[in-house]
Amino acid sequence: MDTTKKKRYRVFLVDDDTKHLVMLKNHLEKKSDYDLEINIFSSGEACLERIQENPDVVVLDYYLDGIRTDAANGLEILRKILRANPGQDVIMMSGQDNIKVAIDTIDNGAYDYIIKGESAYLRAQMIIDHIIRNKNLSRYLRDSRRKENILIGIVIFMFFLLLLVSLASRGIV
Amino acid sequence: MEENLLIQKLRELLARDFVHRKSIESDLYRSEEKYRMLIDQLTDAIYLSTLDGTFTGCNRALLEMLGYSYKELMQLSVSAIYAHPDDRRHLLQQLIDKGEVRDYEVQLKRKNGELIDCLVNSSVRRDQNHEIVGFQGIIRDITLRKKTFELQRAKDLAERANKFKAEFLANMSHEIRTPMNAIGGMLQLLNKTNLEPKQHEYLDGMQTAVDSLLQIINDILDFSKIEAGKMELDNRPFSLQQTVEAIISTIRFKAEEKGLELVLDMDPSIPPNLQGDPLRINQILLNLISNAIKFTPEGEVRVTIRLIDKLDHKARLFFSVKDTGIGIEQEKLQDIFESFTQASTDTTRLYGGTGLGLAIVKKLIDMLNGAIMVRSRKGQGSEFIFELELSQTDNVQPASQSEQEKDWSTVQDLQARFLMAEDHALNQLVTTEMLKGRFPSLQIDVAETGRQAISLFEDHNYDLVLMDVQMPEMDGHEAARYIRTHFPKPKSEVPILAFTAYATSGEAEKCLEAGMNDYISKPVRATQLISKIMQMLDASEQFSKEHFLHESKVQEHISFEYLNTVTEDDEELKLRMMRIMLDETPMELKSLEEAAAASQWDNLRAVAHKMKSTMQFLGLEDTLETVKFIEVSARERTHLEQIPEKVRSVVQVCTRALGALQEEIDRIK
Repeated sequence: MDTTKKKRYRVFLVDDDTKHLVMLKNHLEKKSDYDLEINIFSSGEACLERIQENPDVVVLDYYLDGIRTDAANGLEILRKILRANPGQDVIMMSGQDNIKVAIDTIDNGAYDYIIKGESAYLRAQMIIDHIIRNKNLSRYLRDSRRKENILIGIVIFMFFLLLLVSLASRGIV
Repeated sequence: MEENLLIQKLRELLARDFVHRKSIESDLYRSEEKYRMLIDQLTDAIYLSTLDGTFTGCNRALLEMLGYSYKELMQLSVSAIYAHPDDRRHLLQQLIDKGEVRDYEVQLKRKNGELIDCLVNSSVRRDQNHEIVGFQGIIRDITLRKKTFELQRAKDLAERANKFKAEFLANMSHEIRTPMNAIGGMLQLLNKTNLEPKQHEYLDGMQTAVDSLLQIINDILDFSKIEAGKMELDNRPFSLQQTVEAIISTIRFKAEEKGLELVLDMDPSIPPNLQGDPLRINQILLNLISNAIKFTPEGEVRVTIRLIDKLDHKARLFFSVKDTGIGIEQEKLQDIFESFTQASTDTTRLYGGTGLGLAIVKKLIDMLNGAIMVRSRKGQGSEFIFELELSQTDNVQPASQSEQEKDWSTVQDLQARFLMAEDHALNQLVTTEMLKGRFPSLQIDVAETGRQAISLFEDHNYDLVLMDVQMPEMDGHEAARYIRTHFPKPKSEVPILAFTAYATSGEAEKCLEAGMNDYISKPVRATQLISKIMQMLDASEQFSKEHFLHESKVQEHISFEYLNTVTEDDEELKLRMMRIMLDETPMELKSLEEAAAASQWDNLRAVAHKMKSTMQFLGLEDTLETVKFIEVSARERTHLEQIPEKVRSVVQVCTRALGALQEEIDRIK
């Protein structure tokens, strides 16, 4: 994986709880297999303003109204993010171990749902790494498919070239 | 014959005329004599003078007034008797213009040069042709009157000045005590922190200096109070035994520090129930004993109290404070009781002090109708002896003394909310720290003016109010009165403790009059403050005694186990997390309280939700459950009646936890 380490991946963390942001950021920076550039936001609105920058992953807290009571909750922000960036990978996080909330967020296009707790940071890191690996894989796949196509093209070209040469040498052309 | 007859007739006529004339002459003479005597006996001086300025006549009073003989005066120019010759010119001008002058004030010069203040009433004298030929007038010596007037004025001034002095002293005492309170309090707080032994030593030195400075202020104040006759004596039942033992126990350590023996020898036959002013007796003995200790390098200080006799409910007592100290020189013994006097000027340099102590003692004993004496020999020690007569009482002395000594040390914490009204920032800090140091869960809100205190008092429920008397906008008396009269019961019955910087006795009554329950005078000692507060809370009907938290009930402590685990012992990260919590939690607590108070359940849910992580990081598991309860209750709108109590307990635990957090941060650093 040495080659992938060189690339920096961008992650947005959105939480109204500074402690979680700090802990999660710290954990990700230390433990992730990838080199991450992490931006933190204390509100969904702040994150939306910069969603055009196309982060690789957004980690979004479900409850965001702990500081400002009129702040939109995570579900709304999730919808807005996906409207702006269809296909954006968003991991939802919440203290809610409520299956309805979890299903709700997945239905709305979240990549995964994490329940906050002792293992939440580890889970977040694993999912992020997973997303990045997937991305890399699909890119690799895409790349290798393209290379393959080129190779086939070259082979066919060479074949025809060879055919042409052999025909010529036989004095047909 | 006819000629003869004629001559005879003529002679007769002449004779008759002579007799007649003679009688007229004598009448005239008598009348003149009468007036002359009258005029001479007048104390006011009368004079006649000419236009060109010579005297033509005067009465005896003028001669006595000026000290000249009649002859001398007649030869003198009038202007010579004026202290300021200009005065005569003015007087003449007015006389000529108006014909007379009334009550003209002028200074005259006596023969011996002495100046006298006089009042002149004068008028002009004219001849048949209406020409002015001279003046006549009355002079009254008003020197004495003027002097009396000036004396009166000086006396008024002096009296006013004395009043100002008393006020000044009271004010100065306040102005000095307020910062002194801050200094003393800070020293006490500083002493509790982690210091090197050397630093403790320096602090103790500072504390001693502060104490003695306060002693001096108290001495000066007491002295001026006695001087002004404003010292009032108490007359209440007390136990001499208890009073004396209390003094001995407070001062014993001083004697022990110097390696002296302090011996109390008290007659057991002294009646237990005496009546008088224990405070003053305490002051007298304390002064004498501490003096004795101060001036005794080695040996002992012996306090002896004997019953001389007992008559009609009156006990005569003999007191003696004897030391083996440096003693006093014979010639100094007389004025040892004078103010500002010490045995020698060297003494001041060696032992310090204002020299007011013994003067106060003497005056106090005088006030108590006693007598004091000193026996001393240089180098062999001194003995101060005094006698007092105290009446005995049948009233048994109130047992409150023992109740006051109730032991509060088992109370580990106090679940309560106080309001502190104090404008001096340092004193706010001192009092808060003193109380929080003792009771970590205690919540104290601070108001800087009386008005602020009232508005805070309106919005919250307090268990006790600490009220500084001197504040801008609305002072402590007014604020206390307002609380007592403008709020419904039981809110208006909150216990109020006054903080006064005035050491005058009237101040206490003023505080109680304003409706405050008790008072404490600055500088405040932590132990005294806490015991007063505990007494007041104990007596308060509204305050539930369940909030006195004894050891078994002490709330859960902060634990860094979880934080250590999640940060994997990364000290830097841990510190960062702790700082975030220290910064953010107070705000969250405030939002929590506000939302609960305003019944904004959605906000309450949101804040409670956010606070859960803090509880988790701080290892406050029970409180985490409480916060969860608040969150769920707020979301489901259930158990709403329990929320205020739960919020209160969260706030208390967290406030205390934040203190521990700060300590941990300091420790790591």
